[in-house]
Amino acid sequence: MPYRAVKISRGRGGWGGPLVVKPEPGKDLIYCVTGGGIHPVAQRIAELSGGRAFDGFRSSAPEKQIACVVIDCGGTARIGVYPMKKILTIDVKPSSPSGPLMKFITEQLFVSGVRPEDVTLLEES
Amino acid sequence: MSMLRFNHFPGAGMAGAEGAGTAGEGMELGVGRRVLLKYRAMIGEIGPQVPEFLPHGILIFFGPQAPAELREVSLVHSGATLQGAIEVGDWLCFREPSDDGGEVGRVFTYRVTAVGEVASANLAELGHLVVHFDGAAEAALPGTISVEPALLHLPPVGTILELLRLEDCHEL
Repeated sequence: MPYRAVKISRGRGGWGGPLVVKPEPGKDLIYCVTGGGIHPVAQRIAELSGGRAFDGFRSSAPEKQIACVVIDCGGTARIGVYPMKKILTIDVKPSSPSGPLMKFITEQLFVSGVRPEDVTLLEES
Repeated sequence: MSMLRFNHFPGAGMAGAEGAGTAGEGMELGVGRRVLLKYRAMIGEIGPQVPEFLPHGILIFFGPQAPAELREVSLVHSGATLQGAIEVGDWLCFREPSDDGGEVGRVFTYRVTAVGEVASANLAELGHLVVHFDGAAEAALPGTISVEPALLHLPPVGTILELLRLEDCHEL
């Protein structure tokens, strides 16, 4: 399956974005760090983009293989760590930048409040 | 009183991994109060970026399965089963290992003043807890808890992390 670009828009009450995620060979992990398995948003991104859904709490992978990260962060750690590393970050909670790492959280790197229906193929949107 | 020395109470003063029962057991204190241990784990690793959060009065905890990039900002602990939701009035307790190889090290205790709505779920699911040492009456964010007083001492590797509740117990 070829990789395709998907557009990820903020949901209700969300912040940032829209982000465009397009996996590449060697950088195609849709890296889910929500706990409780693969979140439906990560599943949707993987299905549309051709990327591989990956549970960051079950296995480990080098950062350079990550196309984007899906988090359910209510707060301080995950919301900041991934943008700090310039990794595209999708929060399924409607969080806004906060905490000591907030200077790293930009609209180009972060989008929040995302539901599965906020993920669309780029050509369609 | 913002600091309690639980190790003055019988059975509560252990500093090592061996303790007075498992999380969830009530521990009688003999004066009409008992300790309900909700969570107990040992800090095994302190990420290199943890000190950057200290000026903000924030400590981030994660359980043992946290990925590497989150370990950098976290105190990584051994994980446990959460025995009941975190509540205002609970105590966050750090039992440090002793400096001289004795049984009891220093114990630092903080009172929980606010609990975010997903804080207990994060702890139960991921061993993840964000603690603001600001004594706030409302949690800053859904995933955080607030405690008082301000952080007295960064708990070193080997510290036992506990969440517990002191309950009045009239049916002795």
